[in-house]
Amino acid sequence: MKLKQMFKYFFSLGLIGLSLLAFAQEPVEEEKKSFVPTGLRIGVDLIGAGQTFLEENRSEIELSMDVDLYRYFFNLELGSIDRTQISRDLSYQNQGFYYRAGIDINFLHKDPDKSALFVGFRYASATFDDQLDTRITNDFFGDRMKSLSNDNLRAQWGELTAGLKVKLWKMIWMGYTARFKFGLTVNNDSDLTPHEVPGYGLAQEETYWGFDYFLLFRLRVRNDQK
Amino acid sequence: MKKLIPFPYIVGILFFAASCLTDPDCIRINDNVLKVAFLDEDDDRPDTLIVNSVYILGLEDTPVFQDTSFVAMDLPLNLDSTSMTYVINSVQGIDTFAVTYTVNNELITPECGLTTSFNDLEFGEFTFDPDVLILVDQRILNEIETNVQILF
Repeated sequence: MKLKQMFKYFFSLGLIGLSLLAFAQEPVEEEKKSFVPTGLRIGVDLIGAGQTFLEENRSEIELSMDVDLYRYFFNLELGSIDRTQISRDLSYQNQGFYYRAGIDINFLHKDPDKSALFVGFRYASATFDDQLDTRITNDFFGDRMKSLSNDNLRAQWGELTAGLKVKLWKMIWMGYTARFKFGLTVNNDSDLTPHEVPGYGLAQEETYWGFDYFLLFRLRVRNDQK
Repeated sequence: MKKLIPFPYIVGILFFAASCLTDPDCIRINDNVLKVAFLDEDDDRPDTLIVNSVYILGLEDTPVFQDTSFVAMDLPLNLDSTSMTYVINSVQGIDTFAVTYTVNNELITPECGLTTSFNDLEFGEFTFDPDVLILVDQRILNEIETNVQILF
């Protein structure tokens, strides 16, 4: 518990530090607010892709899209997970889709490279199925195999986000999004409680941390007039 | 701008560290037995009941207990069902009582396995006098000492 509190403390400090860095930029002339998008960024989460490559029985992809309007980013993130976890006496399969939609506020919107240091909010929703096959041991009723499943479960939650997106070369960008996930609800009335929710994580956790590291491509739709 | 580039790595390491803290523990607080206590009708103190047999209706060939005596006993609950009927053949006579409950299964982790919780325990039909069969606690947990009291 203390470690968690320490982590929250350091994370808050980090965010404050990053925000101060953003505000410490040299003052520029009063800007002209433009609410016309200058570009569309499309990316793929490298952590999910890496886990797909490294972990057997796991297939995961998450795509991210954002457009800028003045100092705001409108984000849409789409993901898919198909994962089977196997141990000695059971296997648990979880398969589904999720999306997140929300707005980020960019503290570096004056940056000519269109870099982003942001905080934001997401609404997230997932649709998924899961199945558990396990061996049940009981002194009286004996040992047996049992199969439990849920079809077409729906979950929703909220996320507070913070992160950074920086230009590497020409159209290529890298960036991360750190997420604090909260308020999970799952419409489940069967006798199997879902273990994992795609895009969220462990369903038994009331709050959850997430981290995505994106490789992004920015398509410029107009020249930024500054 | 280049000064900011290390921050993704630092925050990333912090987040991975935090994710390790959310691994659940293999602690199971649920039980899969109905805890029955026998009490003296006159003073409500624990008393020993001499039992010829205790069995589950439908499983007469495999009695849970036979030719013994109890101050308290644990009766098995089946997670494949939401009701059980128990038959107690004792020196007091032959009586039955049924219980209904809800079942919920949850995977702790693939390594820890499944935990099953039985909740909302209620009496179904019974042949006992209503005054001697008492539902003490609806929860089926390790920490619960007694679910049902039978006075005789």
